[in-house]
Amino acid sequence: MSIALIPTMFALLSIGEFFSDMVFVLKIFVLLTIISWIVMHLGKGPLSIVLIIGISWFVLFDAFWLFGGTYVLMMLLTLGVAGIFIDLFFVFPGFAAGGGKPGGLPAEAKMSSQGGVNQRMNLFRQKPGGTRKLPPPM
Amino acid sequence: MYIVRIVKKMFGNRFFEINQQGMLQIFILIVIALVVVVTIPVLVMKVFPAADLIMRIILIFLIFTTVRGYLGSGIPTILVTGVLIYFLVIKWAYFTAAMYIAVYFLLALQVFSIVIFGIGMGMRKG
Repeated sequence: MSIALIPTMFALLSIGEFFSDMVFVLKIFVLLTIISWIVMHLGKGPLSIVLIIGISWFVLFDAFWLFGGTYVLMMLLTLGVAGIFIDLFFVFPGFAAGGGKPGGLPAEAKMSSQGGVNQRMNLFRQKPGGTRKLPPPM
Repeated sequence: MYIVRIVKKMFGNRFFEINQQGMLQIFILIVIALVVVVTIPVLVMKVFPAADLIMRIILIFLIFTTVRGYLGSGIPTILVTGVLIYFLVIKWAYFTAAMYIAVYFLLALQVFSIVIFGIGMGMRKG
């Protein structure tokens, strides 16, 4: 019964239309990237046009299942998703088990070259309110 | 309980050892925070028509600037911009606004790191 509702849900919420539109938009952005990259390296000549057509055909119509996901992943990495994963898994692992307490699990950055990571780790190790003095009661 | 049994069968007890450190709660809180933050522009656009108009104008400028950066000034830029504006600004404006907030504010400006860090600090024991 619930499985039978899935096609209905797709039709009502127009998920299929949304997905196909977003794939089309993604293909446009991939095409723009290909054109920009080839023109940047070869200029605007006949060889560039031939290469743009050939690579675009291969990337957009032949193997988009591979290049679409790769493009999205590349864009996310460019925008700094890796920093979020470093924050999640390396900066404060085990903090809920007492990572900030003296006897708790140590929080160590196992791999990172990001400048602010050590600063955030030190901030995390401090006790809450330990660095700032509260004003005296009036 | 059925889900717990499936997870145990797939990952063994390792998944629940991770959860003893509170990681599962952290992930759920982070997802909730992300959904709330991403939903805010959509709600604002629904409530205030002026905000809707301003957000659409911002998106149009953003799309045009992006395409011009790829193709330069010319007729192809206008054509591609028109197609993208139809799909992203006219047809799926709320989704694009949410993605704009998620990508530019949360990822590019590192606000998402602050959200994760704040949740971690809030759940810290001791």
